[in-house]
Amino acid sequence: MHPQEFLNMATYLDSLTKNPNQTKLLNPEIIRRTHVNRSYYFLYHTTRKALLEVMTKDNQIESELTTARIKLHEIFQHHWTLIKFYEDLAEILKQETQNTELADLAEDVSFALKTYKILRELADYHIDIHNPKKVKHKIDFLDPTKTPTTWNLLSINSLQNRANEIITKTNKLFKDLSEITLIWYPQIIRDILEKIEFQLNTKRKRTS
Amino acid sequence: MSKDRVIHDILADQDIEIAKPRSQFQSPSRLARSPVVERSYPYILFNFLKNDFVFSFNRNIGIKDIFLSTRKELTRAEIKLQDFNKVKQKLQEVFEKELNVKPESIEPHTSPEDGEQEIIVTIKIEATEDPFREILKLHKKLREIDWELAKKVVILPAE
Repeated sequence: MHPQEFLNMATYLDSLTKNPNQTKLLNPEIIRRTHVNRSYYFLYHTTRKALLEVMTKDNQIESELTTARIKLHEIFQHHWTLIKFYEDLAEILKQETQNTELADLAEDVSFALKTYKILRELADYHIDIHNPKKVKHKIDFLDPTKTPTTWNLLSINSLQNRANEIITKTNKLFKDLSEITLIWYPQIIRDILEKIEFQLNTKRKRTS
Repeated sequence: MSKDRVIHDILADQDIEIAKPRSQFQSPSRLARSPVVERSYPYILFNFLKNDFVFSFNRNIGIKDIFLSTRKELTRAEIKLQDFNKVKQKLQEVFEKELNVKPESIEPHTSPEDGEQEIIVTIKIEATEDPFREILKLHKKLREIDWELAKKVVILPAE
């Protein structure tokens, strides 16, 4: 699905909860939980699309990955791989190039994804509903006015800002990467992806 | 031209199948085709190493990745329970002294899907339209202080 479709769904669900007449008919808690879910998926798919576009457009990365027979689409089907890619890239940039500005860009994307992923897990796995006293970082799905700042994070404007930031940061990251002479960036990307692919296969073996 | 060569050519012209030496017969079984030495244990071990380990070397993955591919290696951040109290204490100090923010709570979070672990730090944030900008500013400061620690931390608003 296109990222915009997830945003459209989130917008629709958000509008449903703001309409008291309709909310009475439907289950407001489920609507709000689904809204959080769709919000995360919008950001995940936006990041994935931006990353795949920028990588496939770059001939040097493309040829490096073709040689290594790395299937990008398969690797980034898993949420943790996307977060791990940005985290590992940030780590390498910080260690090998001492370029904290670029490392920060990668870490920013990873941090945004992690934040919204946790919000989604709180919504999807009902983590706070069974034991609300124990978990302090709960989102109130029944009465959003009780947790207004968290719901501001999930507002459509906030989500669009996040998506724009992620796209801008990913594009800038890859543009600046190609200008660094200290490292051969396609090799760095290949190394990260090969390691992730290896870990992905090991995880699969363990779960099968 | 030898006598054998002439007979071979005549048979070939008449489209008659020429018998091949027994060693050239292709058995459907791969095991039957392989020499006896290949079926021995050292060869099985060699095949195992070749398929499971040497393959990895070809893919530019170091020996460290293969032998240390334990559960710890498979997660981005794993915090042992006994270490968590130390991490919590350190985070508390960093937030209060360096970032001038008092954390409301510091709790470990394990993803129910992929088992990845994070530390959720909740802090009071001024009511803004987009609180994430405030959160990100704090996280960036935390990265400057301790990058490794910041990698494990996710900041959420305390309500």
